[in-house]
Amino acid sequence: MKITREELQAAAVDARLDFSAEETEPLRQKYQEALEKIQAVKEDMGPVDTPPLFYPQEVKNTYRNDRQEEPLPREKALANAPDTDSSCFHVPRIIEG
Amino acid sequence: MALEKMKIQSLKKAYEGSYFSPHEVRDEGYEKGAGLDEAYGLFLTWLPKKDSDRHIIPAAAADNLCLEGERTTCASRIMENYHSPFSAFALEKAAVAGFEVVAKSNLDEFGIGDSTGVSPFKTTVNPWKEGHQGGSGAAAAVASGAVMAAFASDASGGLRQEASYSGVVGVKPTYGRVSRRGLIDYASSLDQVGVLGRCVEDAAYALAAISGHDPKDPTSIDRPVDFDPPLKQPGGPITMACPREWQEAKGLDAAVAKVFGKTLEHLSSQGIQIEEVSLPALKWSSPVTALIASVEAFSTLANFDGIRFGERTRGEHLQDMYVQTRTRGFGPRVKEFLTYGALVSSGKNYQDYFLWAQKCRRFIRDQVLALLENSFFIILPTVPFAPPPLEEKSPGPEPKGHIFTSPANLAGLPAVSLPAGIHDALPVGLQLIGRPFGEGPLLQAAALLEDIISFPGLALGEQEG
Repeated sequence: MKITREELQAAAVDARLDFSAEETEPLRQKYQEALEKIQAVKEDMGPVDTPPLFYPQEVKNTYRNDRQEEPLPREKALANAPDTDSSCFHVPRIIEG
Repeated sequence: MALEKMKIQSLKKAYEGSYFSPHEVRDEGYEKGAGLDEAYGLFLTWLPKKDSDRHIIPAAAADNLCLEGERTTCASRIMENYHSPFSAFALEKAAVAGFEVVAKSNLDEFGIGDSTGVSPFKTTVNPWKEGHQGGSGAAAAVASGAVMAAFASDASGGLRQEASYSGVVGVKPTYGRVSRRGLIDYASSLDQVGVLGRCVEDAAYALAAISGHDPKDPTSIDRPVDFDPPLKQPGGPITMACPREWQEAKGLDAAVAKVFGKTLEHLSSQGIQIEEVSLPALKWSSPVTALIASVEAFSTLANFDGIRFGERTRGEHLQDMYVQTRTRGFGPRVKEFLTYGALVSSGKNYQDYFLWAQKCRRFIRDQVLALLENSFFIILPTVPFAPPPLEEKSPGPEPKGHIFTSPANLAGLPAVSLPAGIHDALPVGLQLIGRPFGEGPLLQAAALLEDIISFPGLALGEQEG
């Protein structure tokens, strides 16, 4: 698989990150090498027909007791936010332009 | 009182005999710890000294474990001023058992990649040899005697790698054994809270303290804790499987191979039965783990966006603010790892990479479990190389040092790293992997190996009882 600059830039957009022009090519080469190694592993392992395993233990859904508990107090929930008023998180405008 | 030469059991006995008070322990801990912190770069935040008569065991917690009201940075600029509104369940349990966290320790940013001990805030120096990586502040703090135990996390082998670098004992428990609530992890299906101690018994104390079911963590599993010290002697002859593929591992240092090979010979001569076996999965595990971990990190760290917590960088609009905040707040290795995760889980690549890796995971887990059906333990080196020089960097998204450790994370198995020997004034670790929820037999076997090897711990030196 050949990684293009455009694919790397698309992945950066998905990760909400920005790389400068100088950063992009070395990074592309690193990913290229990493995926070439994965390709070599695939060839070494041969086809893998087992079902995927997303958690090491077969995790079962767990339910808490159905009773009301105290939530995190509002002032604590807001305390670490960079921009708030007494009741809300503030965000920049959402519509571009 | 030389806390750095004591085991936890000795400290408990000293309290019982009123040889010294918790205040004296704290005074000595804070005074000596400050000097060691300055020398080796151990801690990111010191906690205020408490004033209570509780019999305490001085400990450190890696700075990705939350303590209510205290700074928790994950060693990242993006979390530089974050103060957690609650404590990690594991640390709450540790406090009940007497462990008092005196400082939050340095780690690689978010614990991602090889444990080098280099963060944007501090560089942890190996207490054994100047100019070499210590792995983390937690491991170096335990090794140097600044604290008696430490709590940290292990996603693909980081905790065991730092234990190996600093010549201490590191235990990663079975996935589900310890609550992950309050751990700011990056790979939710791989990360576990584990412990570091100067000897196996101290590590067992710390692990028993934090183990147990947490109803608020859906991955926590309710199993009895059957490894409270004092550890019993193993019931009969011990058999260990040693996969021969360790000798072909990429980047295997000749010195590590020599120390590990000699240790195997020594253990055999002392009655430990070591069977050479084959585990082809050893070759594949690290790149597969890195692939899964990067995708999980891409997802898990998506909420570090400058809205509800953390640092914010101004942008022209919401999307721009996200990008500016994350681009400025995360360091280069984290950004590289997250973008790798985005790349290999994109619509085009999901089947060929991420889904393939999860299929490999079952395949690898099954191979490891098949070996453990015949032997109680798998024995391997912990890291293929000795602690590198401080300036050495990680080469790409896959850590260099997790070849031998990552199978335990993929399979969710308990594993312990303990010192095997020294080469060129730097420690070399060996690793035992055990059966699921087999922490008891695993720690008993590790204690037996520790006795046979008689490693001269840096801080313990002439050990007290």
